[in-house]
Amino acid sequence: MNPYHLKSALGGLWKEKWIHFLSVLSIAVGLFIITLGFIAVYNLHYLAVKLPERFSMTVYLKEGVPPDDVNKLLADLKANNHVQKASFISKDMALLELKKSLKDSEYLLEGLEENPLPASIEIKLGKDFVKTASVKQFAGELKEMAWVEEVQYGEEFLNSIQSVMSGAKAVGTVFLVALLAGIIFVCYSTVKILFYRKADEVETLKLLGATGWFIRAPFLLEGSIIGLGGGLFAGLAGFFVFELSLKGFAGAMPVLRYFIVPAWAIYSLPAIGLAIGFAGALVALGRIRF
Amino acid sequence: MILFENVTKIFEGKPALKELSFHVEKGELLFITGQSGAGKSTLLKLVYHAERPEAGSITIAGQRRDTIRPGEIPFLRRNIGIVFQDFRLLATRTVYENVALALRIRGMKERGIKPQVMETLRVVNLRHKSDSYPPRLSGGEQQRVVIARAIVAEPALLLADEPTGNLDPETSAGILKIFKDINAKGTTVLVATHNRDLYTNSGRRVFKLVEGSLVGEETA
Repeated sequence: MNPYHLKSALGGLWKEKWIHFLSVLSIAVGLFIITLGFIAVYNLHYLAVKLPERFSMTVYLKEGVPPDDVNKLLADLKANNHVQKASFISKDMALLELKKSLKDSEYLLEGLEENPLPASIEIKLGKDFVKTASVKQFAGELKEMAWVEEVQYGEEFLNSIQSVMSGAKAVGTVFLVALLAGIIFVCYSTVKILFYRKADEVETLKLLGATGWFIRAPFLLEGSIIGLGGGLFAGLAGFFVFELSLKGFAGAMPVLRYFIVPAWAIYSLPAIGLAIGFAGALVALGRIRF
Repeated sequence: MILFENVTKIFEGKPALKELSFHVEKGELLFITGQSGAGKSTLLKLVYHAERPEAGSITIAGQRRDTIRPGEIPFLRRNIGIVFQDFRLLATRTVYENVALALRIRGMKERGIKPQVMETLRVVNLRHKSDSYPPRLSGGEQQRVVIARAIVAEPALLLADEPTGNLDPETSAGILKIFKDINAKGTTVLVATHNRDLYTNSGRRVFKLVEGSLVGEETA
């Protein structure tokens, strides 16, 4: 690779700048969509990692459970390997919590003569145990225990979020691979067309004693530059959409505050574009026969 | 320098060259003559490895054709300067760039390229056209650019396929002089031509090809 190759590549690109600009835009759009998909999957994955940390089960106890039985229940739960934490919430504590949460509407509790809230035990499970089937089975075992009235853990929510996540991961992966193949094909066909158009020049170079790499170099550079251009445009679009727009809208849509955009995914787009462009060109050129 | 032993080349079932045998000494200037289609260009293509023979053996500078691996061909071609019948100039590059290409391919550093290209353009009397593009040049000028590109790297062997094509006698004489000069410096020169004026009274060996067969050898 020498200045001649770079000059030759830039000359080739400039000569048919509009066709190449369209290739750059196609790659940019593809890479941007890939980034959107990747960030969606990334956020789902993040949610999947964080969910077990926030997941808890509440075991409601029957009226009049003796303190000794509560302690025994707590001890049994704490002895279970899957239970990370088990804390007892007495009827009084539950009422106090309720009063705290109804700070400005305490009048709602004024008519109550006795505490209607049951005592309960809040359980945090180990991360690896928070799976639909295992949690369901564990809830069933808890229900069988003495003094246990009811077990609540948001079964529906757990079911749906886990099926959405596994579905999204599968669809996302297929989608990303298909788009990536599409982008490589854009680079491949751009360089292949260039190569065919310069078939006479390539033949002359061969007859003058050029090696395969001397002939390939300008085409590889052209493919890499087109890929780099696509990556830069996609990176710029990503920067404006995620870094500026999302932050701007976060005031109006608070849910966006929880949306995570890994900066490296945006900043690595030019390098990804360059690598894809180079790979597409390399495949397009194949073996040069003498 | 060049040894052909019973070489046969076949195109679409028809023999283009039939059991051709000859020997060219190092430092020789030799003419191959014959009508169009006699096999002159095919013979040259076999020398610069653009074609493979169907039978027989070809040895160039001591190396047999059938022992050469494809990856070695570019390096062997660097010892050969070729004046193509159809010029093969790059229309989008200047005269300078076209000639410099032969040196770039050989990996020469940029600072050494310019003086060598300009000196070669002086030899072919085209220094003043270094920034012109080939399509803007006359046929004779284009021919001289091709010659400049073929000789700029001072190859051991120079092959010229109809180098005077449709040129006028004066330009043809100028081109022959360039060949004689480079031959005087030690380069072996093989000229395929049907232009009798080019070799008459040259004092060089002339091979005559008829329908792919060598029918005569004389010293003109």
